[in-house]
Amino acid sequence: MAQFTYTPASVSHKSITFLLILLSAKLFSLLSLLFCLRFLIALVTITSSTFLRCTASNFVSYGGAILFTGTLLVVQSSYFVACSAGTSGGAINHGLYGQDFGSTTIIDSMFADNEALLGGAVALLCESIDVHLLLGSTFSRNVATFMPATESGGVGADLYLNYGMTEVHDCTFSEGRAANMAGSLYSLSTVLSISESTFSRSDAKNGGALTLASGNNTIQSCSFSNTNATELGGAIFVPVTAPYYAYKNEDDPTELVVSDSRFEHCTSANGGGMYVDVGVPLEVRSSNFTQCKADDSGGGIYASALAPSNIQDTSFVGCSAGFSGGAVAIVDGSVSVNKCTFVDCSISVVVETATCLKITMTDLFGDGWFGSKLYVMSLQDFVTLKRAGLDLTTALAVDEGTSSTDDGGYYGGYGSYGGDDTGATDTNSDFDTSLVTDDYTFDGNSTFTTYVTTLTFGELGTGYEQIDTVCFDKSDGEDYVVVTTADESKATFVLCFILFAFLAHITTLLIIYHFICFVPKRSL
Amino acid sequence: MRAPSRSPAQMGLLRTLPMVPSLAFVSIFICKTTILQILTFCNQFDSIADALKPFEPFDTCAGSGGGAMHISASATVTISKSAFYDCVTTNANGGTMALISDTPLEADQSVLTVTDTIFGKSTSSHYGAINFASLSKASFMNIEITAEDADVQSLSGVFFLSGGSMTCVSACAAGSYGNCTAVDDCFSCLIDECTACPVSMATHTNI
Repeated sequence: MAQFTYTPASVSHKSITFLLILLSAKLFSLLSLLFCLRFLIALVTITSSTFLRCTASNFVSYGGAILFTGTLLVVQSSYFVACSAGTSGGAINHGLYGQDFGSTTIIDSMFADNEALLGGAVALLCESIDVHLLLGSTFSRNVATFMPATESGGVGADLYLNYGMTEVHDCTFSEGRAANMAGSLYSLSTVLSISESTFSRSDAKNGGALTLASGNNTIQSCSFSNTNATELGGAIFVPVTAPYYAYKNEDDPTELVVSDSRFEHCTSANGGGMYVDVGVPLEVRSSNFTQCKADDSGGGIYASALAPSNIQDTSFVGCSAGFSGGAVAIVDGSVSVNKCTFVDCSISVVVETATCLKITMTDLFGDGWFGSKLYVMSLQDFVTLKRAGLDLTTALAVDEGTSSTDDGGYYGGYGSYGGDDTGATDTNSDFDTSLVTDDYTFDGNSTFTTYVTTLTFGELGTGYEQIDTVCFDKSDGEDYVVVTTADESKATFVLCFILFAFLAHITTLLIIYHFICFVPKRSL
Repeated sequence: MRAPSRSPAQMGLLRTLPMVPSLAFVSIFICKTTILQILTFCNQFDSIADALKPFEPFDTCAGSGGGAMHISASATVTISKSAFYDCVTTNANGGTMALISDTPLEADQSVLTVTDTIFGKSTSSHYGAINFASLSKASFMNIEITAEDADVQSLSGVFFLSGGSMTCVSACAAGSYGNCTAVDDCFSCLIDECTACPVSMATHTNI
């Protein structure tokens, strides 16, 4: 007969383990159910639909066609045309600021001619790390407008992404237009991956196609062509700061990896292909920059104080700039360039806009009366350089043809040399006051970037004044004619008269001396 | 014999006669001063005449340049195994590269290291057909200039150094030498071509 041995400890242990497993399973089931319910409750799928000219017209309004505050939005094979919203998401706005959870999937859809302040076509504003997918979709002619009254907007003509992990694959972006940043896509995503997508003919003030303001960004096998920025980053702009309304997560550092991508005919003032700002680690691999152009610096890439970065196996062909770095401009930071090819890259500084004169002006007597006077005349205006008797406050003042309303780059900086013009109506005077000494001797780079109407010099109390180089803008195509005035003639006349008088005086004395000393005396 | 009498005019003239040299001296001095003043004045016309000459290009563009690469503001850049062809700057320095520093201070200097790299045609209308370095550190090791001399032109220099330092060496280790040609203050060496130094000719450094 078998003897049953009761062992309370072992039974208790097994029971508790079993109960724990059971409870865990129940809990997991419950959570799964809740999780599924969450989607069941907040899942919207839109398929094969067309949204035409939908408008959310309030001053503050979101999602011209769809404002979705649920959890999961799926849009497939749909068209969104000419929709607009007052604030964000001209066609679709998913989530509001402060809303957690929210994933968006857009597949094989088209967005055209939509408009909003942020995200002309689509704005994804949820503040969680959910996944957004944009696959095989087309964005064209969408616009992010700027609102001057609030100085906001103009960000992300096609897409505005806020947080989350976003993947953009096989999408086409064209002719987007943003008044401020991102002619196509503005991203604050934590993780952004763009692959096998094309960006073309879009433009913005900064970031002709992309502005990547945060997170870990990867661009692979993409094409950027004919994208333009008026200021920074013809195709890609990676800023160190973002506008206040763009809600940049300052704690989320930005990284950028570009590989197997092409940049063609991208243009901007700085960084024709891309402009990457302070502290960002940049990696560019196996990419091509062709005919990218910067009006100022960095035809292909402008890199400003980057974290250690790497450009590898990349070619720059026919890139150019107007001032420095036809292909690449690296300002501060550490960059390694490895196995790269640079072909037909160039700088062409336009000097026709800065015609230089070397002028020396001398006040012969230091009294300001016999001063030199020099007129430099154009067909439209003229420059007067006059040594004496003129008020410095109105001198150098009129340096861009705006007449007496221009208070001048030079005198505006008086007492604080080195600064640019602070004149209220003077927007572009650039007399290089940093090189001006206290006695108003100009040397080196005294430069007028726009042509000058009247330039005069006041009574300085010194006998000598020199202007080594003064440059005049000829961008208007005008030629300048330098003429002297009657002052020199007067001075010449007076000085010649004095010289003649002295010479005559000496000649007379010498004749007298000759006659007295050397002419033979008749008798003594 | 009585001395002939002199007229009052003659007497006055004789009295002033000793003063003539001093008067002449004073006159000459004044004249000289005046002439100097006139010359100064004429110089002014010269300056104006200079101004009327055909305008020279704006030659104060130290901050511009670098047909392919511009490196400035304390940047540290390493270029390796790369190639530069047909780079050109117009009215700027450094046909291929411009290396600029804001100050000569060590901490502010931009540093460029170029290794195993080929330079083709490169021209600059200003200074440095290939490289312009100002107040910076440039180092070229194992570089080859494949262009003809006529295709490496500038106003002055191929590797123009305006302050700072520049070193040029082949990649050959001690005990061997490269197939190099002097170009300006640098060398163009066939990449990675090294020959062992003859016995008793080896050095402890590469050249």
